[in-house]
This record gives sequence, C-alpha cells and structure tokens, in this order.
Amino acid sequence: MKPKPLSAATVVAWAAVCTFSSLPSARLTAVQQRPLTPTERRELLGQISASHDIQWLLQIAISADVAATWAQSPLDRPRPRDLREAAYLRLGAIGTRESLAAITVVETSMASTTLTPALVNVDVWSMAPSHYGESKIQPVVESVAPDGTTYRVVYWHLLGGYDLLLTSSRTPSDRNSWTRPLRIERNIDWWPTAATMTWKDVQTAALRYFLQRRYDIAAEPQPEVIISLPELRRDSDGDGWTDAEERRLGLDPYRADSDGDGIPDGRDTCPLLPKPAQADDVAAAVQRVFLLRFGFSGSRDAILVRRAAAPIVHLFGYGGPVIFGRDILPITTGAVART
Amino acid sequence: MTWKVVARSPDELVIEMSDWEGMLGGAGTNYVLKQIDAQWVVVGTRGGWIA
Repeated sequence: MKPKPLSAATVVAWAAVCTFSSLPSARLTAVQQRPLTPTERRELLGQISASHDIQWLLQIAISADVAATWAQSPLDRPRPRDLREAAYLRLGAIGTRESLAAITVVETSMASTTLTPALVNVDVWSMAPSHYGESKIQPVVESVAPDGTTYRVVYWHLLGGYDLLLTSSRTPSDRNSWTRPLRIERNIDWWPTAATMTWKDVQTAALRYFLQRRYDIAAEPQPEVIISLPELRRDSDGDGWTDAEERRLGLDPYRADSDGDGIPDGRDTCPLLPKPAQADDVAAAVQRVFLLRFGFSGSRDAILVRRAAAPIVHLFGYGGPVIFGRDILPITTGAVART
Repeated sequence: MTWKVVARSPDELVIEMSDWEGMLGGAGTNYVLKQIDAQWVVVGTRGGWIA
C-alpha cells in the first residue's frame, strides 16, 4: 500500500500556519516568556504528550528555536529534542487528517536539512542517540591568526571516527558564529593534550600536540601538522563537503553527487545510497522512525548503518551523513597528513 | 545502527531501531506505527533496551 500524499495546497496551507500565523497558540505564548525550570519543562513534556492543539504541537516539532527557548541551558533535560520528539509523536497519536498534515509539514521542512551549514555553535554538541547527553565541547587549542580571526581545534566524531577539526570566528564570543569545523587530515585515535598552534602566515599554521594514552606513561609529542587553510577548505566538486571530508566518508571529492541520484552530497543524508523514485510503505515507515529517533537531535555526527539493516531505506531529515554497509569507518581513510 | 521490522499486521507495524556506540554502549526501541489514512504513522513506543 502506498502512502497517500497530501495535496500541495494542504502542505502550503500548513506551512503558512506555521511560519506566518498571527494567531499563535495561547499556550505557546504563555510559556514562551522565559526559560523554564527543569520541573516546569517536565510538566511541559506532559502537556505536549496529552495535547490536542495541533498548531502548538506543529510549532514545537518543526522548530529547534521554539523548543530551545524553554531551556535555561542546552544541557538541561528534558532537552529541546525531547520536546520536539514528543510533539511529533503526539501528532501521530492524534491521527486526524489535520495532524497528519502537520506531520507532513514537519517532514517537508526537515527534508531540507543541510549537512554542511556555514556556521554552527561550537560549545555544545548533541550525540545522535537519544540516550546520550549533550556534550560540552572543549577546544584542544585556540589561537588568533594574524588577520584577527580566532581559530579552534576540536576533537570529535563528525565523520565516522574521531578527527581533529578546525573552526574559526571573527566574533568568538558569539557561540553561533563559528564556521563548520573542517577535518584536519591527520589520523588520530586519542584525545590530544598540551597543544599549541602557531601561525607561519595568514593562511598557514603549525599544530603541535601530545598524546597520553595511559595515565602512567608520559605524554608523547607528536609530529607537527602543517595546516594550510586553502587546502583544508578545498572543495573540488563544490558540493559543500571538503575534499578531506569526502575522503574520510568514502565519497568522491571530484563528483558533487557521489551516488548519482540527483541530490548533491552536501544535501544528501545518504550520499552513497541512490534515492529510489518512490519509497514503498515500509520504507516510508522506517524513514519516519529514523526521523523521530535521530532527526530532532541536532546532531551532525555521521551514522553508520549495519549491513543487516532491512529494508534498505534512503533517509532524510538528519544533520549528518548516513553511510550504509559499514560498522566503522577505518581511521586510516584519507590521505596521510603532511608532517 | 540498524533496524528491522519485528511485527506487522494490516493495521500495525512495529519497527525496532537500535544503535551502538563503540563496543559497550547501545540502545534500542520498538516504534509502533498505525495505518492511518493509507500511511504508516508513528503513534508510540513499546519497550526498549539500553546497555
């Protein structure tokens, strides 16, 4: 049985309700006045799970910003993702034509999620699985370049394994002003310590760091990494992923659409799985479950799908790449760093 | 991560979605979907595990 598509008019109407409504829900207006205490947010979660206010649920599910206004800190629980997941689930449980239209609006909006945003927040990142907390990102090193730009090296698993990543900002105190962290091509398997970053010129920096794999062994100095900003940022095919990231993910750095399905890699949640012309009903169901489990997380970590997954489904709505048929990306993927 | 269909009837579908993080951490949840207006709609969760 094929999913019954909603008319374009229905989707457009709901999008208008969501985006431009001059009559927001009274409940939303009331609680939007201030961040809520943890107790109040738990009560809010209960209200969401029992609500029949489709417009209110739609506004919560569709916008990370709306859910975030109720948090005093991005580390607080229930998190914005918890509220959004509850709202999406509640829309399904209501099960009316109007609530299904709202679900379609949410999914249409999330289908345009970019995998390569220009800017990100650099202090708190989400893990894809819901049972993990949010992580406060501690930079390995921070350095100001000769042109006044502040650079940070962070150590995180955006591309299927741990990497050193470089981000920058002209206004470092603005948490949302940092560029998307780009992979430094140095294979590394442990948290680096005592790092320093010195600038040879405005485009070239030298990164030095130590690794201490055991507490009872002295930290060992590692070979210097020369970071060339033009090389770090090189995106030969213009798809949004840098060449170094594409090598790490197994994409083709010289082909903007690695799987040839018409969706550029930078916007393709499954860049190595061609999108079928139409998903069957079970595939559409898996898409929705995946969206619920990971799509609201705000995470950009690569997700690796085991070969045993069935049916194979082209997914959407998640902020990171989903790579099929691999349990782990080998740390040796990519070119050896210049030392 | 992975998923599988664990139960299916004409009006209900249950999909287990699970994930692992390294060797030791993982979790799975059974998602319940109902057939509404000729489409599968997630309406709840049923059970789960965490390790």
